Amino acid sequence: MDITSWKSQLRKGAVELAALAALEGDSRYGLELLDALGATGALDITEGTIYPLLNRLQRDGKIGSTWMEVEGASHPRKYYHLTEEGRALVEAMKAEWGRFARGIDALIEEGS
Amino acid sequence: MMDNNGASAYLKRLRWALSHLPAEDREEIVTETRAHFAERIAQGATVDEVAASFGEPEAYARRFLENYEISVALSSGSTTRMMATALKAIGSGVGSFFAVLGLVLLYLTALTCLVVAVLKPIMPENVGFWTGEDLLLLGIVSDSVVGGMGLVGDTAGAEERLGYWIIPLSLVAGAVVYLMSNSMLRRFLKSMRKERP
Repeated sequence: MDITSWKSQLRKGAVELAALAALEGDSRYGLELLDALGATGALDITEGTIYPLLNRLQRDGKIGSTWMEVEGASHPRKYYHLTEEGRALVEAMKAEWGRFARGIDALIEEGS
Repeated sequence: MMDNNGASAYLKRLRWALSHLPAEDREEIVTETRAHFAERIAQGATVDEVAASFGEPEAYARRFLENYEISVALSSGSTTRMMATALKAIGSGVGSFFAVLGLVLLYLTALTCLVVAVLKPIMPENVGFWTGEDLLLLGIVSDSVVGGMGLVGDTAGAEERLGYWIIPLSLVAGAVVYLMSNSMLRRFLKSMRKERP
């Protein structure tokens, strides 16, 4: 497996966790969330993937949304927030991610 | 002005491509996309750049449609509906053909169990579980042809072991296989939706 396809698999798997974790504090609208995820440099996420992902998470009841008129913005924005279910899911995902990362780190340390 | 026209052409194609969605969902997606275009353009991006980041409107719309179809199928709880959605996804190249084939075989097994239970009181001599010297047969036999799950052979000389117990046993087995297949089908549909995050 070459590094490019491996990297894309890795990034794909983390997108859901990243999006949910980014909503743990304040609610955010799509573009804001996308830029926050993009700024990490750790994920491959574009307009074409973030909105369908948010749409799916909302259908599954993990996030909710509210349209808001914001001063200075020409268009209303759709703000997303975590639901109780989404909060529980992101907690479980974070714990799992921690276990996973520590395990792999330990293996890499051992090998080098 | 040029920019606005470009965005509205994209949005028009998007709305058209989303026509199978409920109107409310469709308008929300279009409104959200329009706001995104406007904000990026205000930041200095060109329409073409923004459009490229969304991808072709038809491909972009397909992601929403797949989400929608699978969610509807899952929440309907209907096996036929879920199976139809799975088959459709196979047709469009998402998901594994063999996984669906396996599921079809499991459903057929459940159906066979039901048929065995129904036929036993109607033709008691032809339905059963036989064991003999070189025979192990579970299922339905006709007078000349022997078939079912197990070895093919002659029931003459073999002994039928279950009697009418085959009815409840077969019903329970069928129900277990059916419920198991349903839960596998659900998991399959959920995983398919995630294949294109």
